[in-house]
Amino acid sequence: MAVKYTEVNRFTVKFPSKSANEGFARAAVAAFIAQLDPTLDELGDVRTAVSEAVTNAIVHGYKDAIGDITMTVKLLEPDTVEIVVADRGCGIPDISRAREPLFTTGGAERSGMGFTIMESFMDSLRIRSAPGKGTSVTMRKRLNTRRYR
Amino acid sequence: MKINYTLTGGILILKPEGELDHHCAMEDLGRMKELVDVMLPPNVLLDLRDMPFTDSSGIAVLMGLYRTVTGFGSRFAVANTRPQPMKVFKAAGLDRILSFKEEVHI
Repeated sequence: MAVKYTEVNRFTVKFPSKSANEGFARAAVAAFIAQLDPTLDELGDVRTAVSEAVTNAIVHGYKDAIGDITMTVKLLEPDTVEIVVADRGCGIPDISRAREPLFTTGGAERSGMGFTIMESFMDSLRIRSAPGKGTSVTMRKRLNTRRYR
Repeated sequence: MKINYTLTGGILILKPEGELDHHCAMEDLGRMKELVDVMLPPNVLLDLRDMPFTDSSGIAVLMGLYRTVTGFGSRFAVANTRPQPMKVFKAAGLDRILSFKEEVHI
């Protein structure tokens, strides 16, 4: 049966696609989801996925330019975090190809593991993209909150 | 990141300190490669005890360093990897390519 989610809390930040903001995005999400009292492993998973999504927007979305990245983090009942990272950059021409492990257009600096990691560290990953218009990545993870432990 | 290092008995120990991500990855890799290039040690141990976090940028850093070290004919191993970085490295199958040591006391 499909779970019905209700929004409990949310925040949105907008920042330029500068790589110094990767750490900021991770820290902001970590501070916010502390409300759900996640385990260290869950916190690590979410921070990793956020880092991948924001890095993708910086490296691929805006390639050689600086543009705005919007990140919205929602706390949903039951005990779920949803993260949306959106850019208005160049878009992804072939999403299923981009999702393949080891596929990258980023050269030797990149591992091509970004989407694979987002997918395996979170419960769900949805990518919407239109060439020339931008990309948005939506990820969800159910947290095993201490209330039930 | 700060790259701490020591050279003792033919082993260059590289000990990066802090979180690793795309922001610092190539600069950090460059600095570690340079240390290997200058010292040409027979063994390089990457001690990750002070690196609590990496994203997939760390995969490229480890592979880049591994290629440099083995390219010189030296041996390369990784030690004291913390749980979050290990999960990222395993997702890329690095545990099947590189030698990860459980606990190394230095």
